Amino acid sequence: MHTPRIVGAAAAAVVALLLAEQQHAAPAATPRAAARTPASADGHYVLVVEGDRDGLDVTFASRKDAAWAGAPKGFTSSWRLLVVDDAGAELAEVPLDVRPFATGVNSKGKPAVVHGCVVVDSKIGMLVNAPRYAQAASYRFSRTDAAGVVTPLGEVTANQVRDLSGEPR
Amino acid sequence: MKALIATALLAASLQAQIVNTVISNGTTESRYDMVILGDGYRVTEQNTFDNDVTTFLTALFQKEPYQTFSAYYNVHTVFRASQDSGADRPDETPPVFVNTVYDATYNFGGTARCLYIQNTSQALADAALAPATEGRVLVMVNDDRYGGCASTFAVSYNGNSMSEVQAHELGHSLGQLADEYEYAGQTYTGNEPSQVNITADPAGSKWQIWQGTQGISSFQGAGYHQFGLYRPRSNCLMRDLGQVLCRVCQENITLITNASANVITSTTPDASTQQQLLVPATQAFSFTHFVPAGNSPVVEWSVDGVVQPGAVTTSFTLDSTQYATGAHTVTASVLDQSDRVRRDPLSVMLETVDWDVTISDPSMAQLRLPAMGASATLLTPGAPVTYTPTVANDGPANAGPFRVEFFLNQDPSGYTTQDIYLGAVDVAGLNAGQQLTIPFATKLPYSLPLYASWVHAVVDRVDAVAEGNEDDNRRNRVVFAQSIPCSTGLELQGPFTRPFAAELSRGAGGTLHPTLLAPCANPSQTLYLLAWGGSGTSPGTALAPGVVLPLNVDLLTQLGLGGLNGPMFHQFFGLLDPQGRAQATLTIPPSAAIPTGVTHLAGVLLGGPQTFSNATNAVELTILP
Repeated sequence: MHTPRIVGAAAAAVVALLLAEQQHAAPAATPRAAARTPASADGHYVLVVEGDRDGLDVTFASRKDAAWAGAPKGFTSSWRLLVVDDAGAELAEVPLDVRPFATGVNSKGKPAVVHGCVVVDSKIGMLVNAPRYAQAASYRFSRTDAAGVVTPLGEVTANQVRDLSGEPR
Repeated sequence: MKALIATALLAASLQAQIVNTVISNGTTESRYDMVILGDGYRVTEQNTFDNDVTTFLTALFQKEPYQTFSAYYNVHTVFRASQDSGADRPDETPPVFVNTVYDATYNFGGTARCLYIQNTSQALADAALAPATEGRVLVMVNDDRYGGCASTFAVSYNGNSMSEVQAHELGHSLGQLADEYEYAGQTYTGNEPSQVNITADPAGSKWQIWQGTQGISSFQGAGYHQFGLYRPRSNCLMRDLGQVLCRVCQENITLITNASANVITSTTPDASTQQQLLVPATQAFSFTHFVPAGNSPVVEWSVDGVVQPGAVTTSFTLDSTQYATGAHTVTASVLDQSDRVRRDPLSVMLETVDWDVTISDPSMAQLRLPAMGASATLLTPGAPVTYTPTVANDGPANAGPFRVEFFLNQDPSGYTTQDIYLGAVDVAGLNAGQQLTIPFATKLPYSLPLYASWVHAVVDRVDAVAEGNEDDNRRNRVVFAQSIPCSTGLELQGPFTRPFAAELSRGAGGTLHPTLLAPCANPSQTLYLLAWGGSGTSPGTALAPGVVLPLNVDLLTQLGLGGLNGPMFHQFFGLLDPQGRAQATLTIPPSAAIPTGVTHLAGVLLGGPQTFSNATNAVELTILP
């Protein structure tokens, strides 16, 4: 009973690919032409991200009209937030700064520790600037260990973020 | 129901947040945005909060490096009144507990002077309401008992030493600095600390570059240990209140601030838009920045990566007559030479901006491909297809001879010369204002993957015709491959090698890679054999019922079979690989004793001894003199 819809969807996909025919700027003799144009962001969110080494969640969001300023220059992290569209394509990657927190495997669930006047807590709570895309479908948290193993830490839909920020859907 | 009522009561008990920007030096994208919250201030004490913020900021921006970089900061406050004044004092007798919005408490973690907030979720949500934030948040606590602590939040009481305590905590939070004070009798035996301002190395090589400057050396006693850890200076704000920040600490705060600031604030013309420049016009470029003049900013301009001598101000003029037509990049950079920084491994003190510029010459020919037709879009690999690109010369000058070439790949965005080369059509010329449709007949290779690929037509790739714009010479067309079960094919693979026809010079020699594809053959049990002939393909050689090798056997065939798997006919015989493929190499040495003219290569599969199962198509190889 769904066959006509499936055929329709396939036809739509073919039409979309046919429409992909387009004139491009010519590349130099050898280098490949530039990759696809990145999606353009529409302002940004300040996200409140909370959790621990095994899971992160967005608990509040505030939409800002100002453009996302990007991650601090040179800052990298094995913890990241990926903004993806509904096809799973990556729209942006935001490195997460978890340096203030205790993220070791033995730290989970332990109370905050004070060294001098520095608080180190296994409970993560941080503010994250992330670009806002109209076509964003979800926000995915993950971290990569030294062996290159990627651990998913949670996923929040773009609609949930919109709701948290008080935006209309 | 009870939960709903409790939530409603909680919401009602929370006062609304009041957001203010108390220092605005520029856009939030360009500055480091500080956010300050208040805890333990009742609604009638908002003025106290405002005064505390003013007192603290006045003191902070009199300290280095904040003073030098004061224009790099915006400061926002978010005030939410608390029910009670002050903070919890659980370690006093009797203990004191107050109702405040972020639940600040002394004795946090069992350290009496550690004043920190317990409702971080509420504080984060409130801080998020500020116009912008870099992630670290200051909290002023309306309590006169000495205390402070830091992590994501830099928290301070608001008593006499408030400004010093908060600046110290900010050193942890913003500056990622360690405490430099020590506890008597403690000896450090751990690994090298990650913070820049303490080290286990008695020589202090971590801050070697600063040694000898303003008291920087290496002093034992730091990071809560009297022995085994060292600090850069005898005293510093990270060790004791009332002190200046040492140069090592200042450098780190400066680098972190600059990593978030974008000092180039405007560009003319807008660098985010493509610039078009017609010969012989010139184009002026300029930008503004806020690097302090006292930091001796160095401005540099480059075009396509070539530094422009003498271009050291914030404006630059590009002369289109000095550059070839086509795409160019104009880059401006400004380097902050602040004496607060001696190591900048991430180049955060350097900022650049690029303009993409296309130079066109309206007096030249202008070739482009406005359209490309195709005889089919859904194709079987190996099937013939004709593409019909239209070439137009939109320029005022006639175009001389040029070539239209065709590449195949799986990338709609462009091609490289390493992609499959389908061939070319030579065009004698095209007069100004004319256009021409060029049929190009080809066959798509057997190795064409299923689903979508793209054929790219490229006009005048080698720039034989001088054009007003060399960057609009390409058009692509999608092709969908459908497979025929168990087709067995032979094709040539390699850069600038057409799949089914090639030329080699007998005098110069050369190499080709015939590749046999038999996706349905049993790879572990199927042998293949490639053969060469110079006597045409018809009627061919019948090897078994229904299996005709499309070659007429002759002396070339004998030469190939005689030299099977030798230097000339490498891998012409063998087992298919696990994917049912076999790639051979035909190497013609220079001046080889072979005839010139049209020859062919073809292949056959052997399912067992003398059991020929399939023959391939023939591919054409023309031996030129």
